[in-house]
Amino acid sequence: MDGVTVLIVDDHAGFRDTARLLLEHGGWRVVGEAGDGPQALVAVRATRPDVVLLDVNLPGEDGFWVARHLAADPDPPAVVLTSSRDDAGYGQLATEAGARGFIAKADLSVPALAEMVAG
Amino acid sequence: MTGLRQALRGLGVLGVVWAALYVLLVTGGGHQEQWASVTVLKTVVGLSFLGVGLFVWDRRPDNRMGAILTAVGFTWFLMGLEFADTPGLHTAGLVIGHVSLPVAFMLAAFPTGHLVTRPERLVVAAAWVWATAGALVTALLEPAPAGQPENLLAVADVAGARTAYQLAGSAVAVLLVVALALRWAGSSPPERRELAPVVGTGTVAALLYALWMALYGTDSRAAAGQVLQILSLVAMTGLALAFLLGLYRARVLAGRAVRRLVADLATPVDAHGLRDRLARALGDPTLELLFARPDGGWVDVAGRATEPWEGPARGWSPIARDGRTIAGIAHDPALSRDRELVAAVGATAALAIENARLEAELRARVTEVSASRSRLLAAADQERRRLERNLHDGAQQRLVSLALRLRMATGCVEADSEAARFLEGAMAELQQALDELRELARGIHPAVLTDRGLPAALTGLAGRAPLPVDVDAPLDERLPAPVEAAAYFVVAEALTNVARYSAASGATVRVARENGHAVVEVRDDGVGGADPGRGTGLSGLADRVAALDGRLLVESPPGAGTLVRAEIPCAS
Repeated sequence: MDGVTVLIVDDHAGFRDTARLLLEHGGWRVVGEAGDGPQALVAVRATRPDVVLLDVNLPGEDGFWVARHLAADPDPPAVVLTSSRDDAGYGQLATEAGARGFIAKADLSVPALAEMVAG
Repeated sequence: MTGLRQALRGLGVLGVVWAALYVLLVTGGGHQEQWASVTVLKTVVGLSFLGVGLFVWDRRPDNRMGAILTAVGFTWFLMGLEFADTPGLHTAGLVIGHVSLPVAFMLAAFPTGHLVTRPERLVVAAAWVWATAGALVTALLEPAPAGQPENLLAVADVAGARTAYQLAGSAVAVLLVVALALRWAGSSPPERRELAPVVGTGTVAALLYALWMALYGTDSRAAAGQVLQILSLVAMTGLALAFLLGLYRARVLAGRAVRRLVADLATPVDAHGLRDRLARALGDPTLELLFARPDGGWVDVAGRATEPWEGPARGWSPIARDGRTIAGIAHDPALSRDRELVAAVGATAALAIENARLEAELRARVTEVSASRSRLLAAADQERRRLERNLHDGAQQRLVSLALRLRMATGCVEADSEAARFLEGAMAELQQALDELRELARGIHPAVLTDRGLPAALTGLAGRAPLPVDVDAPLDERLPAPVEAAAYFVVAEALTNVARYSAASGATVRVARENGHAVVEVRDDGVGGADPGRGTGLSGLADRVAALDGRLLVESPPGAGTLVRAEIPCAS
């Protein structure tokens, strides 16, 4: 799955850097970053990524809100929600919001993401 | 002896002389007969008004009723002039012999001595016109009949002039009855209690007078007229005594009201009950009881801040204890004239008022303490949320990033190399740190509770427990945040205890809304015998639950499992 385009949405710049490193190391192409929900919607429509890695705990509107909006688009990207809180039962909420699923930040890897996007 | 009292004594002596002159005139005159009983009664009526008037004047110098009643007594005996054989005195009697009537009409000014309503002022004015101008015109138009002393004023002889004069007198008396009835209708219960003796006897006297004037008038020869006149005079005597009763009834009532209040206060009452008892003792349903606050303000029986006020429509009587104003009664203005009554009742109630005041103060303080405890809890919870967020946004994010980077680094070094082993060791340490940090954050405040509510948070708790836990939390909507937090921590602590001490094979968690309460139960099938007082962390939770006006119960009979149950008020 080399060359998959991905947009990273997270309010922590440090984590965005790490995620970019991790994804690019795994052969994906990071086409943009966003720090909050509204920015994320604009960036997705501008860059048309294959995958959106979306943090749940954003300032203001949360990741589920962004996922629901993206799911309503005519040709939506595959959305995967992530959070460092891995015990909050986010998996079910993620699929309910139209995302492919939820991965804890500590478990983030290209193979795990690819499996979720493909599944 | 005061100057006033001396003057009043002088007036009294003068009055007696004046009455004696009247008797001499009536019995000495040969032209007109009057039953001896009528003469005696008229003397009694005049002296009664004089006596009562002087007494009231002496005791209540600031009340005009004393002077008015005294004036009734003096003018009363002017009707003796008509009996004089001397034409001059006889003629004067024809003109001014009835001026005691308008003076007597001043009974409408009872109890203040001031005419208040318009009908009353009109009736008194009409009575004056009748007794002065009316009498003068009648004297001008009616020469003396045969056998009577000469009427010096007569200039014409108009038949029926006297009859018209008498009917007019009768009509004025009826108007007085109407004015009194109107006054009665517009009076409050305390005012009526004060008015009753005077208005009652006054109405009877006025009606008898009207009947007598209309049927017989000054024709003293008719026996029936004399009888009617006697009845009217008896009523007049009663009226004089009624004034006395009306003005001094307060003292009599005070004794009765105090006895009743003492009996009423034998059982403890709250502020509302105390107000009701004072209202009953003073016969004033509009009565309000106000308590003085130490800071100088006032509160009503419900503890609301208020201000006392006094005016024409509202009376105000402060109540003091040990020289300090502790309360006050806002009441019907009629009670302001019953100072003795209000003071006696106030003094009787002072101790109970002091108790009720302390109780109200205590209740206010408890309410304040309870409110501040809730505020402290809310502030602490907010602080916990802030701490958890800071941990999540700060250390946790950085450690997760670090873990990811270490994993990438591991992928870059040769497997089974020394570097790979170092990296694996570091990652294991880091994972341990992350787990501990997550546990710490969750203990401070579970983010899932804020994000997803109580059932999800409890499911999470159950999932991490080292034994099977069933969760039954069918809540349709979110509970208030402080209630959710309390419920969560109760379950968390109870499940920790189950795992540590109970040796149970499983536990159940139940959350439900029952009768305006959120009820949380954690039950296990373990060994029981838990002591809530032992350092189980439950006592701290009992405080948290109590801060929300709830309660925490622990049932743990030996060998029969443990039930921890929290009930927290929670309006739906």
